Amino acid sequence: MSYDLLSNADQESQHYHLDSIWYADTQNEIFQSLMQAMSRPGSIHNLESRLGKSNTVTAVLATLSDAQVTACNHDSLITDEDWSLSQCQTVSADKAGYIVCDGSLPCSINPSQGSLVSPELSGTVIVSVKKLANELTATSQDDRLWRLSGPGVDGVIDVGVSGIDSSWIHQRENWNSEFPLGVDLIVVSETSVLALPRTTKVECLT
Amino acid sequence: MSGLDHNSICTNEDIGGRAGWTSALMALPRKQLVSTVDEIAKEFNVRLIALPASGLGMLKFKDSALEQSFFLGEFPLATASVELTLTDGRQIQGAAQIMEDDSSYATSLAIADAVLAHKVSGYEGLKALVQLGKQKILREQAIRNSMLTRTKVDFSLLSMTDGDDDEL
Repeated sequence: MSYDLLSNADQESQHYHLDSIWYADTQNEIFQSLMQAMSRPGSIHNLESRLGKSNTVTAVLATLSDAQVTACNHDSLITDEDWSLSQCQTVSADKAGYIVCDGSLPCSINPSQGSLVSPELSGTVIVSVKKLANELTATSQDDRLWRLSGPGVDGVIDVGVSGIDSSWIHQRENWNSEFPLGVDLIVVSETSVLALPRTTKVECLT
Repeated sequence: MSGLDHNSICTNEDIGGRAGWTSALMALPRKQLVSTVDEIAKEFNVRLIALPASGLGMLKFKDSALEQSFFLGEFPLATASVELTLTDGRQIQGAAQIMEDDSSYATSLAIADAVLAHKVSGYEGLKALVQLGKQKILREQAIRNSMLTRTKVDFSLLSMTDGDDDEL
């Protein structure tokens, strides 16, 4: 079945409350932000005005998912109700198109890195962190300052990520060591999103 | 949770099997159902189990000669699946899958399905609508049957004149 998403106009005279992230217009806006984030690694996009009562992780998953998408709610960050609405097919992390993880925990997944024929069939990891900023002073051991370079970055760009375990960047290096195979990361904070495609080089400054 | 599985067949002595409720309600004017459900839904907290969707379903068929699958055609399809929380905290479920391109209408029918299946507040009003709808379907069926009967041809009369042409 091919189907149409609920449009924001459908919110009128409904019997139920559905957060704005489940409507097509909002998802289009979030998708635009994700496209920008992917094409300009290191750029931080604020989604706060589009979230309603939902969190950023759910909003990103809602935007990317439909009944054809395979996903893994690895650290149970998405509630059962929202997971049901996303219509994702639940699979294990190594088979999932999208894996939702808590960045504060050590990385314990092994996503698909695609194949040489179809590197696009790799998994994309949505990592939840505490905070994203263009500059961040390290105040705790989970605060990182990353220097990014590569396609889409004008020279280098520094980003601060708070609340991410150091194992994530080490694992990412392993996953992306045999280009074009690799794993793309979407890092989300409470309000913002940043993307790390497999082509982006990340240097940990702290 | 006292909700029924969406696919389970439930029979109600007053209005027959669950499978017939939605078609009976759809036989009535849309506004009549929607306004009734609007009133009933005020008493519940309605939660979507899945996003209401509308679009096109594809009908797959196998040709009889080569046994190869092909798409016979497409049809409008809308689906909705809801969970109602009652004032006493109980949760009940209902669903609808209709050949219409209107997910909002499907949601109204899914709410009606839940109410009818569990005989909760609003049941009597919807039961009356289902009975009205069933009567309307029966009337329409009777008209169709009579039209069909009138198109029947008695070929036995042809055999009485069989061979007349040869004699001429």
